[in-house]
Amino acid sequence: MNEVDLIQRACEGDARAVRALYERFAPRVYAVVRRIAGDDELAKDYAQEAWIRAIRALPTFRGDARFSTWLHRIAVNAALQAARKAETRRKYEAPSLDEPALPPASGDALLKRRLEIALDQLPQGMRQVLILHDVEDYTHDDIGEVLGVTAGTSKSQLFKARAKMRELLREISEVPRIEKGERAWNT
Amino acid sequence: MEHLSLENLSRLVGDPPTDEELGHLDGCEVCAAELEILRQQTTLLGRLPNMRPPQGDFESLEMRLAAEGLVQVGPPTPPPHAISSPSWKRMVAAVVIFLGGALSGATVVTKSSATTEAPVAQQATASNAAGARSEVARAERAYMDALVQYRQLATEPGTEESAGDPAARYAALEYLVRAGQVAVRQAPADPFLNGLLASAQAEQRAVYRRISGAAREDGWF
Repeated sequence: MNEVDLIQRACEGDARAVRALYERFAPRVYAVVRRIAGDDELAKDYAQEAWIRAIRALPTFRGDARFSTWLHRIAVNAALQAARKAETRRKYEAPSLDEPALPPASGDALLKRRLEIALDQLPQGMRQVLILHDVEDYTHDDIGEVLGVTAGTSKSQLFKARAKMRELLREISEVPRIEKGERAWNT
Repeated sequence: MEHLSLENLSRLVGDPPTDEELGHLDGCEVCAAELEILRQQTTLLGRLPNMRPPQGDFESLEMRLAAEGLVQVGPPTPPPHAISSPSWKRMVAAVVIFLGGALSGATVVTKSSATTEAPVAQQATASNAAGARSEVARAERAYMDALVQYRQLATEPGTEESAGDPAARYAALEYLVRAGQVAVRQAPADPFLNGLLASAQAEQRAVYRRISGAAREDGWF
């Protein structure tokens, strides 16, 4: 069944069509909300909220943009809004000292794992800008729109975030001495 | 010589350097290397893969959607590659047969435990909580062993069940999993209900893997 038919049937409340859309787009939705959340438990809630909003809003989808783009934007907005709420709550709670247990990894997987760990450790504002710009390829104007800041603020946050990432990665891996022609963070 | 700050180097990942910065980068291996690392870091961030959501994520989403009236959840919804082959009549029939079988099984187990298994329960109750826990653990192990044996027998080529419809089985198991989840929410500490739910989920995952494997062999991906 093609995407247009699936969307039409999902609009009509067809659970199978909703499931098919979910199966198709869940990994992309989950990836962006997980990175914005910076935490597995929060990510589950954010992802669910994103899907609920998307299914509610399906009748308003007119096909002007690609469905994946439309859905992605809803997911980002839902995650950012939920993150703001969570941040407010967190201010009144004691910080957790538990570090997540990570299974062993090697090579490229290890490198990506380190990036994900460093992302999780970034302050929320920096993380959001870095994810939207460097991971999700948003422009500074787009970021300004979704975060409610100016493009200039987005830019300066991005530079700070990249620098902070670099420091975090150095701490995590004691890595980088780059020889000519070699990749960074050899493992 | 004063090096460029990390923040300035971060800017140079995407923006052109000033003449002064360019001159510095030409003569400073440390800053040039640091800029190269930052560029690689940015490139790699853009290549981070998608992530699979955790198991059971869709099921809880579907329940919320149903609660809001956004979807009609009548019969259970198997994964999309499973729903294209079987007819709904067969699925519904399978659910009815499966539940009928489960009910009969439960009746038999209840009767037999009232007679032959009674001493075990009495023994556990009569000694202490640790003894009871150990009895439960032993019974769970025996149950899981039996389940593994059953699955091996059931999946042997040529047996009646190996020729059954895995999508219908998946649908029936999903029904059981949902019922189990409701039951466990009502009695979260009940070992029997937890065991039943865990078994149904494990079996459902196994069926799902078989369906996915068959789909791949059919060239659906």
